[in-house]
Amino acid sequence: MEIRNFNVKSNSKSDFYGGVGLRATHYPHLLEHGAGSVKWFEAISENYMDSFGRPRKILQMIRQDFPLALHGVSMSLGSPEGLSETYLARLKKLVDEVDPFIVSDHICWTKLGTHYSHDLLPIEYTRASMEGLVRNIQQAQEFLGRQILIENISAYVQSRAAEFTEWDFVVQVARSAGCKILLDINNLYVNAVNFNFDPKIYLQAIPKELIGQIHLGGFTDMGTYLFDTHSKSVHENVWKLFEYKAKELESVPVLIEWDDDVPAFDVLENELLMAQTLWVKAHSSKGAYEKSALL
Amino acid sequence: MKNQLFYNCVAAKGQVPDNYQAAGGLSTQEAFAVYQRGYVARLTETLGDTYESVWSVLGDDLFFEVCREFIFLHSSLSYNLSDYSVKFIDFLISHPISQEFPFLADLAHLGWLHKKVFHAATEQALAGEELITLLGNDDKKLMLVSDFDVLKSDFCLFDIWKSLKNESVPPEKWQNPQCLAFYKLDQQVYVQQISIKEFEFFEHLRSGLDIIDACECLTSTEITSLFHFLKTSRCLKRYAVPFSDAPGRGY
Repeated sequence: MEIRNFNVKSNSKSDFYGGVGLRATHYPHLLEHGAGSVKWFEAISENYMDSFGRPRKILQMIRQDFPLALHGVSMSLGSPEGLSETYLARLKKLVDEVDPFIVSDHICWTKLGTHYSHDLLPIEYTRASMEGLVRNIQQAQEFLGRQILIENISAYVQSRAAEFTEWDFVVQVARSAGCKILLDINNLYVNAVNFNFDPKIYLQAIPKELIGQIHLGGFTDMGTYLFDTHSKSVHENVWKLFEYKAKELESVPVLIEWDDDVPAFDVLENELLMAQTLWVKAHSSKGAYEKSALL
Repeated sequence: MKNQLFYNCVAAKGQVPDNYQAAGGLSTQEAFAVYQRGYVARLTETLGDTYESVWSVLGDDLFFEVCREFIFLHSSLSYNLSDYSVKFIDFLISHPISQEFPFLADLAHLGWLHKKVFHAATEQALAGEELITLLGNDDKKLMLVSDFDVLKSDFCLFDIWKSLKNESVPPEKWQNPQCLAFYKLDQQVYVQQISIKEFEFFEHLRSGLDIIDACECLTSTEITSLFHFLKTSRCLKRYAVPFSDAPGRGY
């Protein structure tokens, strides 16, 4: 099988490549003012797979000027019964049409039989789950004829039957399936607080060569737990973790994800500017970092 | 175990699994409730998007209550959240709330068709001149394009919908049958009132009659008006044999 690897066109390996999620509320702004400093967009696959009206036309228009990533929420990679061929066929049609540079989905499951949860449900970090997940990722890659990215999710329950830590599980799945990781640093931080682990250990465990994209978003502090709402600015602790990991990354696309209470487009641009500033800072001190890592 | 997790996440059904660790300071039950609230909120939001006019009639509290009842009876059967759920129309027909607002199910149907037409592909429709030329041909069989639909109601549905849309005074008497057509031009959906005879014309076309036979019950003035609408709405296309009925499909 020939799998097409995505390729970010960049002048330098440490160039910042920032994008935002494509949201309907921003269509008028984009049509009137353009995208400013935003270099690429990420579209939710399911919002376009079955629509042949205005949303699809807008997507095609955006694609004429910008690289596009397709990010799915319903492939249900963690379903033991395998993937829906109808879903894959419709996704492939969209992929063939807009030629995205990234196709991604989540390390989760969203369906049981014919019923859909429309939420990203956590899977058990066991060997049995891993085998099913790897099989499904390979099925998706075979069907689509390309490599996909898998994203770590935030969760509010976690199985006690786990045989792996989340980070070991994610790395082993990516290696076994031949896919890359969409590292959501906000999700990672939310889980670290909710399940009481050190987020830096997680970050250190993810090899840079497996990271194909970064997500940054905001959570809501509910007092007793962190809730991954994607409705706020990126938290300062998430920025710190981003800066920490950015030092070792090269040419990885970074996305600001904002799904609820979506603000004006310039707010997203400002978040992206912050990410760029930290990225540049991390890379300007890279030599010092690498040296200190050797000591 | 997977079933237990799933049903606890979507509907608080079954026993809360005890082999799960909850996030932060939550109990396991509270942690599953996070998923349950998310599930109801997402489906309510999509029902609100599709059936916006129904929401306007009922107001927040009543609409959310009706949605909750519906959601617990009907799970989502599609990966596409936007497909949830055409069954809401039938649900409203049998719901006690329809005694107070008898037009509610028709209003929901309007919302569903509006969404259907919005997302439908734009097909190559016949332009006005082509339509006139075609009438001189032997084969006068035409089809409706997929981004067009019609709806018949026992109520003054168009007036009710328009008043909700414009936030103006709703009609006092509802018992006035109206028919509606939905079409799309330049990616914009239009809803227009049509006569009962025009509605029947479209139903005849849909049943396979050719355009001349479908017009049989219309007067010449009505035909003129209908053709004006056909040209504006660009709702007709040449007849094509459905793939499933094509010759040689017996294998």
